[in-house]
Amino acid sequence: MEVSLFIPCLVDRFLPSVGEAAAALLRAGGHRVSYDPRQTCCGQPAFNAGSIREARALALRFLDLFGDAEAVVAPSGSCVAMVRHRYGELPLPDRDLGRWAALAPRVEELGQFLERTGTSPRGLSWKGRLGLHHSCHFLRELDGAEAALRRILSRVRDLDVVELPSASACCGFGGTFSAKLPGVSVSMGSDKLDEAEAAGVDGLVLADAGCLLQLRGIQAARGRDRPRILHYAELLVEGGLRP
Amino acid sequence: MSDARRDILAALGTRTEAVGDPPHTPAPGPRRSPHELSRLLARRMQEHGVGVHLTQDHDASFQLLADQLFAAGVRSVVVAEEPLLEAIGLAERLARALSAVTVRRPGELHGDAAWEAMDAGITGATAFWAETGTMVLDATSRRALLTSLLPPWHLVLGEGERIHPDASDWERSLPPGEGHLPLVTLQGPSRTADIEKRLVLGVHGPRRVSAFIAVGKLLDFQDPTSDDPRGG
Amino acid sequence: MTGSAWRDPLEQMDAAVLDRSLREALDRALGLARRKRDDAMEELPDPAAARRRAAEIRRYAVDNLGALLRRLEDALEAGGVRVHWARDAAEAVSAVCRVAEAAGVRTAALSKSMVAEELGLEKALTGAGIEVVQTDLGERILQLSQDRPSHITAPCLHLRAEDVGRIFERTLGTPFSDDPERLSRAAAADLRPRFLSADLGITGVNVAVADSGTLVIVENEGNVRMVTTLPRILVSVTGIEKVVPDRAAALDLLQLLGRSATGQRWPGYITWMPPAWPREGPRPERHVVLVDNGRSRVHASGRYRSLLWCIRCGACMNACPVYGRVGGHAYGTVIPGPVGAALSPLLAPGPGTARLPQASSLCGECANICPVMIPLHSHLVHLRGDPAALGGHGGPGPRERLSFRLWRWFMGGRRRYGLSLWLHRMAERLAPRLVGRVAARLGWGGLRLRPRPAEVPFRARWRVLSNRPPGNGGPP
Repeated sequence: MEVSLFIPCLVDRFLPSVGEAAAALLRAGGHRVSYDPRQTCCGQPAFNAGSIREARALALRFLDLFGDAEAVVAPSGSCVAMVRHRYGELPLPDRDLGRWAALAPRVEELGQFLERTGTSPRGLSWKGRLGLHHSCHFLRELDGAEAALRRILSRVRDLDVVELPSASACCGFGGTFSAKLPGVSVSMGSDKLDEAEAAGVDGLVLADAGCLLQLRGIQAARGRDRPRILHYAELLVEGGLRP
Repeated sequence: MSDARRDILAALGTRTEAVGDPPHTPAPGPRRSPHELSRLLARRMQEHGVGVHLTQDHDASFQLLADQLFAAGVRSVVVAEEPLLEAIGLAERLARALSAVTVRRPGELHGDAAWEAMDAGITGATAFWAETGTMVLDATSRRALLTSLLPPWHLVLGEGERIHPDASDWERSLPPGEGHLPLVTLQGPSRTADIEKRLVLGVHGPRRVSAFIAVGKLLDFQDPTSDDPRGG
Repeated sequence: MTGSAWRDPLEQMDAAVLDRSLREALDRALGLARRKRDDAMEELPDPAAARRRAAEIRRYAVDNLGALLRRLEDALEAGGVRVHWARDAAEAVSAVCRVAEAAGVRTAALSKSMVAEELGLEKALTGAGIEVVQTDLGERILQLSQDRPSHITAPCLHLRAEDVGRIFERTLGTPFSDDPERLSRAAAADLRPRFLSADLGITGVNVAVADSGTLVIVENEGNVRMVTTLPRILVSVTGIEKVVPDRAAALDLLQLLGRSATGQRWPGYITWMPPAWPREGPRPERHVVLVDNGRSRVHASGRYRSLLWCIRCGACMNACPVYGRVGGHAYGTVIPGPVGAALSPLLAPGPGTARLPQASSLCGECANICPVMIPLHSHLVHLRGDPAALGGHGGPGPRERLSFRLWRWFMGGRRRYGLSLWLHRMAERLAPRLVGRVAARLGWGGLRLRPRPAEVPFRARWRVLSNRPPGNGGPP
């Protein structure tokens, strides 16, 4: 398929390897991948903070840029949820709501897209034990995304994915929440890391850039780089993906 | 106050009649046999801390109840004025069987001290819900309510015919227009866990609840449930 | 807690998260509550369908609220119950005080009511010279210690047994104990004579059945039964939103209320009070106070109306990772947790409540667990951008508005965006300490380090990637 890559601003700026991994996964699945460099941000940070006018402006820009795409794919559950669900709640003119309604079903999270089109990677191997962290939007707002990810990971040889007791607990990022209630936010992320360390897993695998920055940020403050905090796309590339 | 009424209703919109029908409760699930229902009820009630006994008939219930009162050393009991209890002559039979026990009717108890002297209160139940292990009591009168509330031990005499699978089934069985039913439903002893989530029984209501349900007519009676380990 | 100067709730929360003993109490209580709720819901043949039905019932009831309240009033008055309507707390309190005064009430027994808390009813009655006793054990402990509830179904979960022991030693004169059983019995023994002698009983209402005028009140201790049976005057206060059309609807909701609140199949006691209560014999003089206090405004908003579906089970706060780390007091509201953070700013707009919707990571667990499927996290995020709904309070502050206008400029075009990347990298290279200070002020310094911009952002890598020949990472 013709796939337009939707690279979240956090990935572009801080985690470009996640974007590269996403592109590689799509190519390995036989898709033709394009990337429109005019894209910037889906507007979620503004919406999250209550700056509705700014969120609206970026939503309209997104609709302009991606409106004609056959398939829009992003390695980020929260951005996809923003476009698929929240755009319809913004004060957009009727015509643009129409454009949104037409585009929304074509915007998908990476793993969901791969599973749906039957183009998920096979033959990969990654040796180790990882805790699966359920990123909130991924788990609760994208129907089927969690199941799709589990299926993808289940095909990776030698990989042992475990469900830690707090797997569904929020990591504490929450976008602007991380700045508004930093003490509580860090407490939530710290508990996640403590659990992973106590369980002796090699790392946590997850599906959202925000979770990544949050957990890696707390880990860095502890002066450690283990257990590893990985986006699943990165894991799959490490698993020997040949694009 | 009528200004308040006018303003509030105005703020809520001008329609005086509800639009559409309220959502319907779904159709009942697969039917359980009377045997299964009575066993389910007993199990659930036991889980909630009730000493429940399925008996052959009211005579057997009475015998068991009298034995338990005797074994516990009860000295005074108040028996509610209810059709079932009247029909089997419970108060008189108890007075005859347990001569050392003072048997009272609620109407004979005047003042707090009289009520506080009661060790046990006996009532009937208008219905049972098997799924949730619930007993439904008719709030016939203040005295009837106090009988199941003030004494530390509440004993219930019931009939198997009044066991319903669940609340919805019971609700459907009520005659239409019988909306105005004063009731209390109860699960078992009074409970609180307000302090450190530690369960404490009998804080305001009874600490001990026992039920004797005659199911013989309902099913080919085999054997009563074994005694509740708590000796209820 | 009383008499403390007002402090921004978000500040209170970030302070409360450091309180280890509070955290232990919360972990213990809420972990258990959550597990019990899950077990109780799983026992239902179709928990998802049960939630959907409950949501439909509440939607129907709230959408038809005016009509159902009229029906409720008719049924109550036909049965001899006096109905008082109250636009705000002052009118509600005044109605109760007048009833008490007219009847020469000297003592009142109050069973647990969130609405009564909201109205400040206890304080008003005490001010009118009436001795008020809270009869729910948790509320009684708080009354004796002059503290506030921190949860809606487990009001004193922030206290340990030894705290209660000291409170009773001081106020009831009981010898010190840290045994919950002994303490509970001491409280019960103290309350018993008060029940028996109270002139006035005041209850809340869990569900009001419109067609028969039946008030449904749920509990486990037996104090509601006492309060509805013993005193000669009985006043029930309720928010206007608690009404449902008929008994079948009430039963459907009750099925979930116990399971969601405390993991019980059915609440320990339910008192079903039609106007004729009890059936025969002497009856208490009865009054019902229908309290608006901002609810009709939430109703009229349309978009936030589903917040009125709430049946006050407390499941959302049991599931909330924020509440679970800061407790109820930090919210500074009668109802804390997710539903409190959404409803309080709407019911009681002001600087004290306006920022509450920000105290959420929007994880959505509240909406996931709510028995009547209120999209709580959606309401929280929408309230952040809706100062109009909050009486002009809330919304991003001036500095934040400016930041986002600037941010939007940078996000508005490819070159501007590229400039932002370049500026960011330059700032980190040339003035890292300044960047660090800014980040630290936003909570990204100290226990959590800020991320660094990549030397080569994705869009720059793409230029390279897309130029690679196929089969080597380039496009096919």
